[in-house]
Amino acid sequence: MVIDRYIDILLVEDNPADIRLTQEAFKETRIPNKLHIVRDGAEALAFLQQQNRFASAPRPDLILLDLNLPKKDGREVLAIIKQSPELKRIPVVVLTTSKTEEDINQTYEHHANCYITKPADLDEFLNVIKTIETFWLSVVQLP
Amino acid sequence: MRNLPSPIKERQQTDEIQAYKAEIARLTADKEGLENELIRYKESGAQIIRFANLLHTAADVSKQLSSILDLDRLLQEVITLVKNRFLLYHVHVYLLNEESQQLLMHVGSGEVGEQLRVRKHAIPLSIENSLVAKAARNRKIVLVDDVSQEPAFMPNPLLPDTLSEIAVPLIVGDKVLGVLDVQDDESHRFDQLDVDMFRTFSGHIATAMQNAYLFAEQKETEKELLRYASRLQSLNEIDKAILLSESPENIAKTAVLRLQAIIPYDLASISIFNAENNHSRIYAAVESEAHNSIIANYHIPDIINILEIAQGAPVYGNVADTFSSALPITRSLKEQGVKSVLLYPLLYRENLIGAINLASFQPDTFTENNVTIVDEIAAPLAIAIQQAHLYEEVKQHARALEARNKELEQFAYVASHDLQEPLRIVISYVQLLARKYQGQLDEDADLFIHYATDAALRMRTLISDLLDYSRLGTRGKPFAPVDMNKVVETVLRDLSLTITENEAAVTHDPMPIIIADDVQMGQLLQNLIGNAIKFRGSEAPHIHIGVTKQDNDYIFSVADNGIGIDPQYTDRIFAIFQRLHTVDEYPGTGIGLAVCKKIVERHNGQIWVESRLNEGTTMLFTIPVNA
Repeated sequence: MVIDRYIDILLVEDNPADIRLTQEAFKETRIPNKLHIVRDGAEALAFLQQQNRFASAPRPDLILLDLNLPKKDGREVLAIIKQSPELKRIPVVVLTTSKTEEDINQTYEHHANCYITKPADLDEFLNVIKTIETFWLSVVQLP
Repeated sequence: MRNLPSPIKERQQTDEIQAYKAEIARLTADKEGLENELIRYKESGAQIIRFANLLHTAADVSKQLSSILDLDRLLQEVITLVKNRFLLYHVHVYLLNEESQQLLMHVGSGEVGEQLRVRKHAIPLSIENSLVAKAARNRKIVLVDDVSQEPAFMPNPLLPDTLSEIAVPLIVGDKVLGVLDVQDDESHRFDQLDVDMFRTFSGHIATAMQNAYLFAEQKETEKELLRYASRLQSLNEIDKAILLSESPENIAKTAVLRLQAIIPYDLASISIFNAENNHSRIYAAVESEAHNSIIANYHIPDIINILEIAQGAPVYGNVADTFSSALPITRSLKEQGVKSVLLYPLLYRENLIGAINLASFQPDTFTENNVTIVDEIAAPLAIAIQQAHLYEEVKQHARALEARNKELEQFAYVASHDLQEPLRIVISYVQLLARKYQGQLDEDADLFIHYATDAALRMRTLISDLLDYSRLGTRGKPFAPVDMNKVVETVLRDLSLTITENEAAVTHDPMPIIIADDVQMGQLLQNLIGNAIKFRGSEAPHIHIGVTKQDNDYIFSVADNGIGIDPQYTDRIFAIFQRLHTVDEYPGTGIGLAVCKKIVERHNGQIWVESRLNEGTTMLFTIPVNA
């Protein structure tokens, strides 16, 4: 399959180590992508609603959302996205270290498209990114 | 005959006179005879009437006496009957007191009798010139026809007119009970008939008295039995309170309320002294609102002081006599109207731990008998309160321990969860380093990266195990019936690869259905069977899973023919992260048996090991049949 354009991915993540790891992982994918990075929930919403310094931000094709964030946490961000008519169609992959059932249930209740526990080592992480790639390839075939 | 010549006539007349005279003399004699006879008749008539009266009285006395079981009423009846029927001057009864060897005037007729009784008139048995004492001493009726002629007579100033007196001993078997003393103001009032009659009477009276004594004794015994039963009940209820593991407050309250039924107190409390912090507590108090200050304040230092001086003995009596007026407690009790008190020490292992305090608004309320009753309650009460204290302490410790355990589990969970996050980064970057720079640096660098990766991965396993371990207690499933056959099958299926690789033979007994957490049972058996295979010897592993029932427990066993465990380490193996081998020899973090132990303990069972080095190991654990 030929991808004729960059896909815009919004990574909402506060941990620089994870940011870099994600960047490294995406370097190895076949999808041309542009990774936009915001460090907390408030920035994520500003980016999505194209406010302030994000006035010219693109609408992302995919959101990678960490749950535990400063200011507004991932659960609130997810809830707002899924209540917004313009944003609710953007696929959201929740990435988190939390394995607790409460978190998982709550996340699915807010219509996260995918819930992924941050894998414990690099190989697994790369696999996850590959899964996202496959996921994306199937998503773009949708209307 | 009228016309006869005079000499003849005179002679005739003289004869006639003679004849008349003789006739008169005869008639006179007859008349005297008749008169005497009449007197005799009259006398025997009176005798008959008297005899009949005596019989009547005897019958009355017998009849009345046999129905009276109260001694005082009985004797009152006796003297009234005797005095009225025979119209006597005075009648009274003395009772013999064997201890003091005195005859005590018990009941007497009229005012004099009452006066003598009130004065507690008594005659020593040994006194010579007393008819009453003499009758009792000799066990014979003493009769005096005229006391004024009797040199040994001791006149009673209250009975100045006495002339005749008869003292009748009252005897049952060979026991003298007393003397019936009868007096009259006529001399020679009593004859043999009277003596006989009084002898008969005395037998009836003495028998009736004996009956009255027996009846009183029986009644006393009954009362004693009732008191005893009541005491037993009190003790029983206190015991019950103890058995129900009630609080010291409840035990004390039960004791105080039970005492109320047998001791007539107005106010009561049980105070427990606390030597450690000098702070005492009142455990149970029965008191009126108006008077609660007495018992509420209690002047505990005073009570402790008083009881310490008494050295373990109870202190009781009237406030005025019992307590020094200098003590604050004395003033307080007096102000509140308390007249008598009973303080009973509660001793535990000879230490004064508290007191039962009883108070009454009446003087002389508390008797030795009360003390005996309190005595019976005090010892178990002291033990009970002390035990209840200990029990509460133990419970508190248990609660504290439980809370601390929960906290630790929570801590282990949070710690291991939070440790995972940075560790994930460490592992990922060490791996990224290896991925990008493997072979581009020198050999040392590659080795260092390898060590770092290896250690980080082992740490991840440890943390993950710790996390699982900490979840065992808090996130277990509720217990339900579990078919252990199915659990064994599942475990063997999960382990099938390992079993095949090691050419292990695993057999098992038919398994019971138990009440347990099925997931944890699987985890338990998987760890044990896994260990049995892992610590194999040179021969192919033979593993048997057995089960026996003993009393209320199933004893499960997992026996192998592996390397065995040196007995000196059998305690260590259940501790978390304890290992007997290096990771190179046998992999693992050393959490498996700690998990097993925690699972078994959560099911109220026990786990242990029987093993000989190089001969194999049997791991055993119990699960209660009725969880």
